[in-house]
Amino acid sequence: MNPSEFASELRKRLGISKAETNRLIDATVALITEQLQKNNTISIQNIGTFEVKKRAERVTVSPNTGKKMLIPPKLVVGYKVSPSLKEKIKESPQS
Amino acid sequence: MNEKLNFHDLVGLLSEKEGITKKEAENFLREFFDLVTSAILTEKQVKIRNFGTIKSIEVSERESVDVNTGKRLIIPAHTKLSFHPDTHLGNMINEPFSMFEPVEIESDENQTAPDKPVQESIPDKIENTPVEEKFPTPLPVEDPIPNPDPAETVRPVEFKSAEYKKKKQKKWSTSTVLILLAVISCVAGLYFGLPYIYRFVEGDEPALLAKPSKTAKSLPEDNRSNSSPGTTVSSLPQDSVIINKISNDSVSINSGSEQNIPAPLEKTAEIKKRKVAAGERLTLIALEEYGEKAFWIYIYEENKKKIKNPGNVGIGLELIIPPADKYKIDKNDPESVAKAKKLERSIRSNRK
Repeated sequence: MNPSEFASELRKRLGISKAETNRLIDATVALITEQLQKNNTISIQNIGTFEVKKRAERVTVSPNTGKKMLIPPKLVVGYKVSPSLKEKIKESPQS
Repeated sequence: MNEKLNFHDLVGLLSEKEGITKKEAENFLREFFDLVTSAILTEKQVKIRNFGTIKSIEVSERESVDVNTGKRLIIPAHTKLSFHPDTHLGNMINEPFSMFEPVEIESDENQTAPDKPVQESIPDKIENTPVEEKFPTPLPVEDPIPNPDPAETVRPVEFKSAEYKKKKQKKWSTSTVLILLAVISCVAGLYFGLPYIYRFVEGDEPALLAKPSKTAKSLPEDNRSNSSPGTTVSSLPQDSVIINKISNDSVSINSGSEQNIPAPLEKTAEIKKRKVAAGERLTLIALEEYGEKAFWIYIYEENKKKIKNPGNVGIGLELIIPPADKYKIDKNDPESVAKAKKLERSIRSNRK
Protein backbone atom coordinates (compact mmCIF):
# COMPACT_ATOMS: atom_id res chain seq x y z
CA MET A 1 0.00 0.00 0.00
CA ASN A 2 1.54 3.26 -1.04
CA PRO A 3 1.07 6.61 0.71
CA SER A 4 -1.74 7.87 -1.50
CA GLU A 5 -3.65 4.63 -1.22
CA PHE A 6 -3.17 4.79 2.47
CA ALA A 7 -4.50 8.34 2.60
CA SER A 8 -7.56 7.63 0.50
CA GLU A 9 -8.37 4.51 2.49
CA LEU A 10 -8.12 6.48 5.71
CA ARG A 11 -10.30 9.20 4.27
CA LYS A 12 -12.98 6.66 3.42
CA ARG A 13 -12.93 5.26 6.91
CA LEU A 14 -13.11 8.62 8.62
CA GLY A 15 -15.40 10.37 6.21
CA ILE A 16 -13.36 13.56 6.20
CA SER A 17 -11.98 15.65 3.40
CA LYS A 18 -8.87 14.74 1.48
CA ALA A 19 -7.02 17.87 2.56
CA GLU A 20 -7.93 17.24 6.15
CA THR A 21 -6.73 13.64 5.96
CA ASN A 22 -3.43 14.61 4.44
CA ARG A 23 -2.97 17.32 6.99
CA LEU A 24 -3.59 14.94 9.85
CA ILE A 25 -1.34 12.25 8.42
CA ASP A 26 1.46 14.73 7.99
CA ALA A 27 0.86 16.06 11.48
CA THR A 28 0.99 12.58 12.94
CA VAL A 29 4.18 11.71 11.14
CA ALA A 30 5.69 15.03 12.16
CA LEU A 31 4.66 14.42 15.73
CA ILE A 32 6.21 10.98 15.82
CA THR A 33 9.38 12.28 14.22
CA GLU A 34 9.53 15.11 16.70
CA GLN A 35 9.11 12.77 19.64
CA LEU A 36 11.70 10.40 18.30
CA GLN A 37 14.08 13.30 17.89
CA LYS A 38 13.58 14.00 21.55
CA ASN A 39 14.77 10.49 22.12
CA ASN A 40 11.32 9.37 23.24
CA THR A 41 10.04 5.93 22.61
CA ILE A 42 6.67 5.56 20.98
CA SER A 43 4.82 2.45 21.82
CA ILE A 44 1.49 1.77 20.21
CA GLN A 45 -0.62 -1.19 20.99
CA ASN A 46 -1.16 -3.60 18.15
CA ILE A 47 1.64 -1.99 16.17
CA GLY A 48 4.80 -2.04 18.18
CA THR A 49 7.48 0.23 19.47
CA PHE A 50 9.49 2.84 17.65
CA GLU A 51 12.66 4.00 19.26
CA VAL A 52 15.91 5.65 18.35
CA LYS A 53 19.03 3.59 18.56
CA LYS A 54 22.58 4.58 18.16
CA ARG A 55 24.60 2.63 15.71
CA ALA A 56 28.23 2.70 16.75
CA GLU A 57 30.99 3.88 14.49
CA ARG A 58 32.94 1.19 12.75
CA VAL A 59 35.86 0.65 10.43
CA THR A 60 35.29 -0.87 7.03
CA VAL A 61 37.46 -1.54 4.05
CA SER A 62 36.17 -0.19 0.82
CA PRO A 63 35.98 -3.01 -1.71
CA ASN A 64 36.65 -0.60 -4.55
CA THR A 65 39.72 1.18 -3.32
CA GLY A 66 40.86 -1.15 -0.57
CA LYS A 67 41.13 1.79 1.76
CA LYS A 68 40.05 1.71 5.34
CA MET A 69 37.16 3.95 6.14
CA LEU A 70 35.82 5.02 9.46
CA ILE A 71 32.06 5.03 9.30
CA PRO A 72 30.71 7.55 11.81
CA PRO A 73 28.12 6.70 14.43
CA LYS A 74 24.52 7.04 13.39
CA LEU A 75 21.13 7.36 14.96
CA VAL A 76 18.48 5.14 13.47
CA VAL A 77 14.87 4.36 14.15
CA GLY A 78 14.30 0.91 15.39
CA TYR A 79 11.00 -0.86 15.29
CA LYS A 80 9.87 -3.77 17.34
CA VAL A 81 6.68 -5.56 16.50
CA SER A 82 4.09 -5.84 19.18
CA PRO A 83 3.32 -9.40 20.22
CA SER A 84 -0.33 -9.02 19.26
CA LEU A 85 0.49 -7.95 15.71
CA LYS A 86 2.97 -10.75 15.44
CA GLU A 87 0.33 -13.19 16.47
CA LYS A 88 -2.09 -11.80 13.94
CA ILE A 89 0.44 -12.13 11.18
CA LYS A 90 1.07 -15.70 12.15
CA GLU A 91 -2.60 -16.46 12.00
CA SER A 92 -3.22 -14.66 8.76
CA PRO A 93 -3.16 -16.96 5.76
CA GLN A 94 0.17 -17.18 4.02
CA SER A 95 0.17 -16.31 0.43
CA MET B 1 13.52 12.90 27.12
CA ASN B 2 13.64 9.16 27.17
CA GLU B 3 9.97 8.99 27.89
CA LYS B 4 7.89 6.17 26.74
CA LEU B 5 4.90 7.52 24.89
CA ASN B 6 1.85 5.43 24.41
CA PHE B 7 -1.20 5.86 22.28
CA HIS B 8 -2.92 8.23 24.67
CA ASP B 9 0.10 10.47 24.94
CA LEU B 10 0.11 10.72 21.18
CA VAL B 11 -3.57 11.61 21.15
CA GLY B 12 -2.98 14.41 23.62
CA LEU B 13 -0.02 15.77 21.72
CA LEU B 14 -1.80 15.62 18.37
CA SER B 15 -4.89 17.38 19.62
CA GLU B 16 -2.74 20.10 21.10
CA LYS B 17 -0.71 20.51 18.00
CA GLU B 18 -3.53 20.55 15.49
CA GLY B 19 -6.07 22.31 17.60
CA ILE B 20 -8.59 19.51 17.43
CA THR B 21 -10.46 17.83 20.23
CA LYS B 22 -9.03 14.82 21.92
CA LYS B 23 -11.87 12.78 20.63
CA GLU B 24 -11.15 13.71 17.05
CA ALA B 25 -7.49 13.05 17.53
CA GLU B 26 -8.14 9.71 19.16
CA ASN B 27 -10.52 8.71 16.44
CA PHE B 28 -8.07 9.65 13.78
CA LEU B 29 -5.11 7.94 15.36
CA ARG B 30 -7.06 4.80 16.08
CA GLU B 31 -8.13 4.56 12.48
CA PHE B 32 -4.64 5.45 11.39
CA PHE B 33 -2.98 2.61 13.26
CA ASP B 34 -5.80 0.25 12.58
CA LEU B 35 -5.36 0.88 8.90
CA VAL B 36 -1.64 0.28 9.23
CA THR B 37 -2.28 -3.05 10.90
CA SER B 38 -4.82 -4.21 8.39
CA ALA B 39 -2.69 -3.00 5.49
CA ILE B 40 0.20 -5.05 6.79
CA LEU B 41 -2.02 -8.04 7.14
CA THR B 42 -3.67 -7.76 3.78
CA GLU B 43 -1.06 -6.16 1.59
CA LYS B 44 2.10 -7.19 3.43
CA GLN B 45 3.39 -3.67 3.21
CA VAL B 46 2.39 -0.18 4.07
CA LYS B 47 4.21 2.94 3.16
CA ILE B 48 3.59 6.24 4.88
CA ARG B 49 4.96 9.40 3.40
CA ASN B 50 7.93 10.84 5.25
CA PHE B 51 7.73 8.07 7.78
CA GLY B 52 8.76 4.84 6.22
CA THR B 53 7.71 1.41 5.18
CA ILE B 54 6.52 -1.41 7.34
CA LYS B 55 6.81 -4.65 5.55
CA SER B 56 6.13 -8.21 6.40
CA ILE B 57 8.83 -10.49 5.14
CA GLU B 58 8.50 -14.20 4.86
CA VAL B 59 11.39 -16.16 6.27
CA SER B 60 11.75 -19.60 4.89
CA GLU B 61 12.33 -22.56 7.10
CA ARG B 62 15.90 -23.25 8.12
CA GLU B 63 17.88 -25.67 10.16
CA SER B 64 19.67 -24.73 13.29
CA VAL B 65 21.32 -26.32 16.27
CA ASP B 66 20.03 -26.00 19.77
CA VAL B 67 22.77 -24.33 21.74
CA ASN B 68 21.98 -26.20 24.93
CA THR B 69 21.35 -29.69 23.71
CA GLY B 70 23.34 -29.63 20.48
CA LYS B 71 20.43 -31.19 18.67
CA ARG B 72 19.48 -30.16 15.23
CA LEU B 73 16.18 -28.48 14.95
CA ILE B 74 14.21 -26.85 12.26
CA ILE B 75 13.12 -23.31 12.62
CA PRO B 76 9.81 -23.22 10.79
CA ALA B 77 9.00 -20.72 8.13
CA HIS B 78 7.58 -17.56 9.60
CA THR B 79 6.94 -13.97 8.79
CA LYS B 80 8.72 -11.08 10.34
CA LEU B 81 7.99 -7.40 10.22
CA SER B 82 10.60 -4.98 9.13
CA PHE B 83 10.49 -1.25 9.35
CA HIS B 84 12.50 0.80 6.96
CA PRO B 85 12.53 4.48 7.83
CA ASP B 86 12.02 7.01 5.10
CA THR B 87 15.08 9.07 4.17
CA HIS B 88 13.41 12.14 5.56
CA LEU B 89 12.77 10.49 8.91
CA GLY B 90 16.24 8.98 8.92
CA ASN B 91 17.86 12.34 8.28
CA MET B 92 15.79 14.05 10.93
CA ILE B 93 16.66 11.44 13.51
CA ASN B 94 20.32 11.40 12.61
CA GLU B 95 20.58 15.18 12.73
CA PRO B 96 22.77 15.27 15.86
CA PHE B 97 25.33 13.13 14.07
CA SER B 98 24.83 14.52 10.60
CA MET B 99 28.09 16.41 10.60
CA PHE B 100 30.07 13.19 10.61
CA GLU B 101 31.31 11.89 7.35
CA PRO B 102 33.10 8.68 6.59
CA VAL B 103 36.79 9.30 7.05
CA GLU B 104 39.56 7.53 5.31
CA ILE B 105 42.04 6.07 7.71
CA GLU B 106 45.73 6.13 7.02
CA SER B 107 46.74 2.58 6.45
CA ASP B 108 49.26 1.24 8.90
CA GLU B 109 51.86 0.19 6.46
CA ASN B 110 53.27 3.13 4.65
CA GLN B 111 52.88 2.35 1.01
CA THR B 112 54.44 5.50 -0.29
CA ALA B 113 57.92 4.78 -1.36
CA PRO B 114 60.17 7.63 -2.28
CA ASP B 115 59.81 8.44 -5.90
CA LYS B 116 62.40 7.06 -8.11
CA PRO B 117 64.05 9.60 -10.36
CA VAL B 118 62.12 9.80 -13.55
CA GLN B 119 64.41 9.07 -16.40
CA GLU B 120 63.90 8.16 -19.92
CA SER B 121 64.47 4.50 -20.30
CA ILE B 122 66.94 3.22 -22.79
CA PRO B 123 66.69 -0.05 -24.58
CA ASP B 124 69.95 -1.57 -23.52
CA LYS B 125 71.10 -4.90 -22.31
CA ILE B 126 72.15 -6.13 -18.99
CA GLU B 127 75.77 -6.23 -19.94
CA ASN B 128 75.57 -2.61 -20.72
CA THR B 129 74.97 -1.32 -17.30
CA PRO B 130 77.29 -3.04 -14.96
CA VAL B 131 80.50 -1.73 -16.25
CA GLU B 132 82.69 -3.40 -13.75
CA GLU B 133 85.75 -3.25 -11.67
CA LYS B 134 87.67 -0.88 -9.68
CA PHE B 135 89.96 0.30 -12.39
CA PRO B 136 93.08 2.13 -11.49
CA THR B 137 93.06 5.83 -11.79
CA PRO B 138 92.47 6.41 -15.42
CA LEU B 139 94.92 8.25 -17.52
CA PRO B 140 93.26 10.93 -19.48
CA VAL B 141 95.42 10.22 -22.48
CA GLU B 142 93.63 10.78 -25.71
CA ASP B 143 90.33 10.70 -24.07
CA PRO B 144 87.91 12.09 -26.59
CA ILE B 145 85.83 13.46 -23.82
CA PRO B 146 87.43 15.61 -21.19
CA ASN B 147 86.24 13.52 -18.35
CA PRO B 148 89.23 12.25 -16.46
CA ASP B 149 87.83 12.41 -13.02
CA PRO B 150 86.70 9.09 -11.62
CA ALA B 151 83.89 10.74 -9.73
CA GLU B 152 82.52 11.97 -12.97
CA THR B 153 82.74 8.57 -14.41
CA VAL B 154 80.53 7.32 -11.71
CA ARG B 155 77.72 9.68 -12.34
CA PRO B 156 76.53 8.40 -15.68
CA VAL B 157 76.42 4.94 -14.29
CA GLU B 158 74.20 6.07 -11.51
CA PHE B 159 72.03 7.75 -13.99
CA LYS B 160 71.72 4.49 -15.75
CA SER B 161 70.96 2.56 -12.67
CA ALA B 162 68.03 4.82 -12.09
CA GLU B 163 66.71 3.93 -15.44
CA TYR B 164 67.28 0.41 -14.57
CA LYS B 165 64.91 0.56 -11.72
CA LYS B 166 62.33 2.00 -14.00
CA LYS B 167 62.65 -0.83 -16.35
CA LYS B 168 62.48 -3.50 -13.79
CA GLN B 169 59.13 -4.64 -15.12
CA LYS B 170 60.79 -5.69 -18.26
CA LYS B 171 61.62 -9.31 -17.93
CA TRP B 172 64.87 -10.63 -19.15
CA SER B 173 64.84 -14.25 -19.46
CA THR B 174 67.73 -15.77 -17.60
CA SER B 175 68.66 -17.92 -20.53
CA THR B 176 69.15 -14.94 -22.82
CA VAL B 177 71.41 -13.37 -20.29
CA LEU B 178 73.44 -16.51 -19.83
CA ILE B 179 73.88 -16.99 -23.53
CA LEU B 180 75.04 -13.44 -23.92
CA LEU B 181 77.48 -13.85 -21.11
CA ALA B 182 78.84 -17.00 -22.64
CA VAL B 183 79.33 -15.29 -25.98
CA ILE B 184 81.08 -12.42 -24.33
CA SER B 185 83.53 -14.56 -22.46
CA CYS B 186 84.34 -16.62 -25.54
CA VAL B 187 85.06 -13.66 -27.70
CA ALA B 188 86.91 -11.98 -24.92
CA GLY B 189 89.39 -14.79 -24.84
CA LEU B 190 90.03 -14.46 -28.52
CA TYR B 191 90.29 -10.77 -28.94
CA PHE B 192 92.08 -9.49 -26.01
CA GLY B 193 94.38 -7.07 -27.38
CA LEU B 194 96.31 -3.96 -26.99
CA PRO B 195 96.81 -3.34 -30.68
CA TYR B 196 93.17 -3.13 -31.23
CA ILE B 197 92.72 -0.71 -28.45
CA TYR B 198 95.48 1.39 -29.80
CA ARG B 199 93.85 1.52 -33.10
CA PHE B 200 90.70 2.36 -31.51
CA VAL B 201 91.85 5.14 -29.33
CA GLU B 202 94.01 6.67 -31.94
CA GLY B 203 91.00 7.35 -33.96
CA ASP B 204 90.70 4.55 -36.39
CA GLU B 205 87.16 4.63 -35.32
CA PRO B 206 86.18 8.23 -35.28
CA ALA B 207 82.67 7.44 -34.33
CA LEU B 208 83.65 6.57 -30.85
CA LEU B 209 80.87 8.47 -29.31
CA ALA B 210 78.27 7.84 -31.88
CA LYS B 211 78.84 4.14 -32.10
CA PRO B 212 77.98 2.44 -28.94
CA SER B 213 79.89 -0.76 -29.34
CA LYS B 214 83.38 -0.91 -27.97
CA THR B 215 85.95 -3.35 -26.90
CA ALA B 216 86.31 -4.17 -23.32
CA LYS B 217 89.45 -4.71 -21.48
CA SER B 218 89.74 -6.74 -18.44
CA LEU B 219 92.26 -5.94 -15.87
CA PRO B 220 94.93 -8.05 -14.35
CA GLU B 221 93.38 -7.82 -10.93
CA ASP B 222 90.38 -9.76 -11.85
CA ASN B 223 90.40 -13.01 -13.69
CA ARG B 224 86.70 -13.24 -13.96
CA SER B 225 86.27 -10.05 -15.82
CA ASN B 226 85.49 -10.23 -19.44
CA SER B 227 85.91 -8.09 -22.36
CA SER B 228 83.13 -8.36 -24.74
CA PRO B 229 83.58 -7.73 -28.35
CA GLY B 230 80.91 -8.92 -30.58
CA THR B 231 78.09 -7.81 -28.47
CA THR B 232 76.10 -5.20 -30.13
CA VAL B 233 74.41 -2.94 -27.76
CA SER B 234 72.87 0.39 -28.22
CA SER B 235 74.26 2.66 -25.64
CA LEU B 236 74.34 6.26 -24.70
CA PRO B 237 77.12 8.73 -24.74
CA GLN B 238 77.52 8.04 -21.06
CA ASP B 239 78.40 4.50 -21.86
CA SER B 240 80.93 5.65 -24.28
CA VAL B 241 82.54 7.80 -21.71
CA ILE B 242 83.03 4.95 -19.39
CA ILE B 243 84.06 2.71 -22.13
CA ASN B 244 86.64 5.12 -23.23
CA LYS B 245 87.94 5.28 -19.77
CA ILE B 246 88.33 1.61 -19.61
CA SER B 247 89.98 1.58 -22.95
CA ASN B 248 92.45 4.12 -21.75
CA ASP B 249 93.11 2.19 -18.65
CA SER B 250 93.73 -0.83 -20.65
CA VAL B 251 96.10 1.04 -22.83
CA SER B 252 98.12 2.10 -19.89
CA ILE B 253 98.12 -1.18 -18.10
CA ASN B 254 97.75 -3.99 -20.46
CA SER B 255 100.35 -5.40 -22.65
CA GLY B 256 98.06 -7.81 -24.30
CA SER B 257 98.90 -9.86 -27.32
CA GLU B 258 95.84 -10.25 -29.36
CA GLN B 259 94.68 -9.66 -32.83
CA ASN B 260 93.06 -6.61 -34.12
CA ILE B 261 89.42 -6.57 -34.39
CA PRO B 262 88.31 -4.93 -37.52
CA ALA B 263 84.74 -4.30 -36.75
CA PRO B 264 83.75 -1.52 -34.46
CA LEU B 265 81.03 -3.67 -33.08
CA GLU B 266 82.45 -4.21 -29.68
CA LYS B 267 81.60 -3.03 -26.31
CA THR B 268 83.29 -2.77 -23.01
CA ALA B 269 81.85 -4.55 -20.10
CA GLU B 270 83.84 -5.77 -17.24
CA ILE B 271 81.54 -7.67 -15.09
CA LYS B 272 82.37 -9.06 -11.79
CA LYS B 273 80.32 -12.08 -11.08
CA ARG B 274 80.06 -14.67 -8.46
CA LYS B 275 77.98 -17.69 -7.93
CA VAL B 276 75.88 -18.10 -4.89
CA ALA B 277 77.34 -20.87 -2.80
CA ALA B 278 75.36 -23.00 -0.42
CA GLY B 279 74.40 -21.08 2.68
CA GLU B 280 75.24 -17.72 1.20
CA ARG B 281 72.88 -14.84 1.38
CA LEU B 282 72.91 -11.47 -0.26
CA THR B 283 73.89 -9.85 2.99
CA LEU B 284 76.87 -12.19 3.40
CA ILE B 285 78.00 -11.53 -0.13
CA ALA B 286 77.71 -7.82 0.47
CA LEU B 287 79.68 -8.12 3.68
CA GLU B 288 82.41 -9.90 1.81
CA GLU B 289 82.43 -7.64 -1.20
CA TYR B 290 81.95 -4.27 0.37
CA GLY B 291 82.63 -4.87 4.02
CA GLU B 292 79.13 -3.92 5.07
CA LYS B 293 76.07 -6.09 4.74
CA ALA B 294 73.69 -3.17 4.32
CA PHE B 295 74.92 -2.85 0.77
CA TRP B 296 73.30 -6.12 -0.23
CA ILE B 297 70.51 -4.04 -1.62
CA TYR B 298 72.71 -2.88 -4.49
CA ILE B 299 73.52 -6.43 -5.43
CA TYR B 300 69.84 -7.09 -5.40
CA GLU B 301 69.16 -4.04 -7.52
CA GLU B 302 71.71 -5.21 -10.02
CA ASN B 303 70.28 -8.70 -10.22
CA LYS B 304 66.65 -7.94 -9.75
CA LYS B 305 65.63 -9.84 -12.81
CA LYS B 306 67.18 -13.01 -11.56
CA ILE B 307 66.18 -12.76 -7.95
CA LYS B 308 62.57 -13.31 -7.25
CA ASN B 309 62.87 -13.23 -3.52
CA PRO B 310 65.88 -11.43 -2.09
CA GLY B 311 65.48 -13.43 1.09
CA ASN B 312 66.06 -16.66 -0.74
CA VAL B 313 68.68 -16.67 -3.45
CA GLY B 314 69.07 -19.90 -5.29
CA ILE B 315 72.36 -21.75 -4.97
CA GLY B 316 74.48 -21.52 -8.08
CA LEU B 317 72.80 -18.36 -9.29
CA GLU B 318 75.31 -16.12 -10.97
CA LEU B 319 75.16 -12.66 -9.53
CA ILE B 320 76.59 -9.50 -10.94
CA ILE B 321 78.44 -7.64 -8.26
CA PRO B 322 78.27 -3.94 -9.02
CA PRO B 323 81.44 -1.94 -8.53
CA ALA B 324 81.61 -0.03 -5.32
CA ASP B 325 81.93 3.16 -7.32
CA LYS B 326 78.66 2.69 -9.04
CA TYR B 327 76.55 3.27 -5.97
CA LYS B 328 79.17 5.21 -4.04
CA ILE B 329 79.52 2.32 -1.70
CA ASP B 330 81.75 3.12 1.21
CA LYS B 331 81.48 1.19 4.39
CA ASN B 332 83.24 3.92 6.33
CA ASP B 333 80.76 6.53 5.24
CA PRO B 334 77.70 6.46 7.49
CA GLU B 335 75.78 8.39 4.87
CA SER B 336 76.37 5.76 2.28
CA VAL B 337 75.24 3.04 4.65
CA ALA B 338 72.19 5.03 5.60
CA LYS B 339 71.34 5.51 1.96
CA ALA B 340 71.51 1.79 1.36
CA LYS B 341 69.25 1.12 4.31
CA LYS B 342 66.77 3.67 3.13
CA LEU B 343 66.67 2.07 -0.29
CA GLU B 344 66.19 -1.27 1.36
CA ARG B 345 63.21 0.00 3.28
CA SER B 346 61.59 1.48 0.22
CA ILE B 347 62.07 -1.72 -1.73
CA ARG B 348 60.70 -3.75 1.12
CA SER B 349 57.60 -1.65 1.30
CA ASN B 350 57.19 -1.85 -2.46
CA ARG B 351 57.33 -5.56 -2.36
CA LYS B 352 54.50 -5.81 0.11
